[in-house]
Amino acid sequence: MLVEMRRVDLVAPRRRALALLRALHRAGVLHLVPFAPPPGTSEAVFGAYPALPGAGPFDARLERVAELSGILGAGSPPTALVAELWELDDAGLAARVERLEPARSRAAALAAERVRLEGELARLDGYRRLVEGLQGVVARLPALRGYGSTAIVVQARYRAVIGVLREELEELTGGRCELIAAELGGERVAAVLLYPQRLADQVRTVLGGRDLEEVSLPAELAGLPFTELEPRLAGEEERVRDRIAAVGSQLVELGLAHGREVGALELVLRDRVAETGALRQTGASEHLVVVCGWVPGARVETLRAALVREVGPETLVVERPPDRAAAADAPVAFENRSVLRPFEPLASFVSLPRYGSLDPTPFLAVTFPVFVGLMVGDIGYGLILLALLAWARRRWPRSSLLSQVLPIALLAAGSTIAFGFLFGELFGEAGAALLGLRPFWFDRREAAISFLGLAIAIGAVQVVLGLVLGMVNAVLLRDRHQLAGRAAMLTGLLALLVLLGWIAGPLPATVGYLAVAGLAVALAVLLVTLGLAGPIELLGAVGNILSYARLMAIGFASVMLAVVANELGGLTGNVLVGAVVAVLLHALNLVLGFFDASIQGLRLHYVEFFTKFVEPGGIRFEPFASALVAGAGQLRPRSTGGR
Amino acid sequence: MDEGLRYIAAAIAVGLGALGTGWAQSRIGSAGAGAIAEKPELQGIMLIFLALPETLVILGFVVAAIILLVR
Repeated sequence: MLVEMRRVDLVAPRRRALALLRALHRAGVLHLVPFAPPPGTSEAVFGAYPALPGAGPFDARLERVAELSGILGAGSPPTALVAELWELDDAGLAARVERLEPARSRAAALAAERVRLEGELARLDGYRRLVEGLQGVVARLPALRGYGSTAIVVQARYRAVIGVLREELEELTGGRCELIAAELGGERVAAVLLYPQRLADQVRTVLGGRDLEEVSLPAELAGLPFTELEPRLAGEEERVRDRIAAVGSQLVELGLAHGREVGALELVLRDRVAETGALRQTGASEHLVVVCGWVPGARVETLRAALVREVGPETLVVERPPDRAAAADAPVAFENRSVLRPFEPLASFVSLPRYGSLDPTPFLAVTFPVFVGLMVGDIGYGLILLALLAWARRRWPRSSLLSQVLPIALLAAGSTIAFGFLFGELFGEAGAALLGLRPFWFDRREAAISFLGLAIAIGAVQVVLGLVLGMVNAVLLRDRHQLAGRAAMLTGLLALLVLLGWIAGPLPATVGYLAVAGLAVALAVLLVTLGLAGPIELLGAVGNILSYARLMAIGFASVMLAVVANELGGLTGNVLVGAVVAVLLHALNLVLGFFDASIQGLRLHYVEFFTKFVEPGGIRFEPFASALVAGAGQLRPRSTGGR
Repeated sequence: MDEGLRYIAAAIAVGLGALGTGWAQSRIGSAGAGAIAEKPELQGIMLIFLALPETLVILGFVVAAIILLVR
């Protein structure tokens, strides 16, 4: 169900504005909205809270702590430490930040050194590759007194420039030069130019105009004989690597010493900055401050008591009377029983339902596992899924994603096993052949028409249910236009189904005539409410029902693939090879079956079912909640306050 | 002869539906990937758009099933 929300104005003395926001932040139940003057008040009296000059008192401190947190990779801090820091006053919190300043300076220096060293390592690596590439070239250069040399590197696709350079160099030096090129790993070409030392400046000018990468060694390596360069470079690389490791271990030590506190401080400072920022959304008169927002109905009294206790008895929580226009802006929060809760993200994946409308979660929670079970429908596959889920639970006991998926997957596995019994399938027909398993309902391989009929009947029931729920939603949202449209759609659809029954034979003629009359009325109403699109939507609804044939199509494909796996396994003539083939094909079928069945099951809900009644466009409930309140957006079930 | 024609008709019903679905999904998928890159919040609605053309092949399947199974 969707939580009932109340629009409230929270009023306190202006001097207590920050205390009010702090109390709200701690409570974590108010969805803040920008200030709008309460009805009956003049804007001359109440206006937006004046903007604070410059940045807030904790902005710069947060920046510094966040930088330190980024360097140290601070993880989740202990809750008790967060709570302890959260209670500090501004001066106390600032002092804790200042106490970390030496650690921050050291960490920043170490991080800068690590960046510099990594750059140096990359540079040395580049030199080493270059020296390796030029090794053969240099060996061919004549050793001449009074001659200088320059090494250049060009991208392989610009190698033509080396020929041009050779011509220009020969012209410049009167032929007293040498240029030898060598490939560097296929992507680059290196060249060494040898020329009279006195022409060095002119050569540089020739090179300068071409945006070439001129290679110059670090000062400490310049002048070394080429043969000594490679070992020296390797030694330098080793030294830099050692230093990087030393810097890394110093940072780890710093992290161990300060990481938890830094993480906690970052959270608490973010909260303080958010509180200052929230001031901009409040309203103020000369003496009062007003904070506007939405609170879950069941939490209003708790909030009122908390504000009186923390801010002072003069704090008022004024509830605005229910207003249809204002309800359009009300945020939406789910409040379901624990068994339904994992389905909430799926139900709101495409769009959040509007406030005041029906929550689609319970419907999805009932029919989604049934659809998956109907499509996969095999005891063996269901048991394997259960085993995989048990293994995953032990392997990743703290995974939040797994915790969310597990209940859905368990229900799907249970449903798959149940339908497996109904269809008499255990790894396809292997259960029947080996264990004498017989279907309790029907054999999917033989009764294709019954299976197709069942799938389409499920579609008819769900689409009709969707239209009925759509009418309920129209009543809840007091939308007569939608109510008329959906009622006409429902009447038209039922009339079409009855007409089909009449044409097929089993229904009497009187019923058929009534259906024709009902269809005519429905079409007329649809034309009035939805225009020309109305009759087309009616046909669309028929298409929606037929779309449920995929339940049969995918189920049929799944069982036939299982049969193929068994047959192919048996054809090999070798027990071991046959078992491997069968296991591989069954594994493929298992993965494909559950994946496809989940996607198709969801699609049937989103496209065929939800479009009939879910009113999209809801605003997610995002309470102004501090680090003390984890998962504030997920409300837990209470005895009151739901709709 | 009639039996053979029935099989061919069923194959055409599913095959053309599958081709149509594949072609439509390729266009929607590439456009959807671009749209999600710009606005990740559109992924839900893009999933719907991507799933819409599947109805073509399912309807083709229903027609094929009727051709083959209803006598």
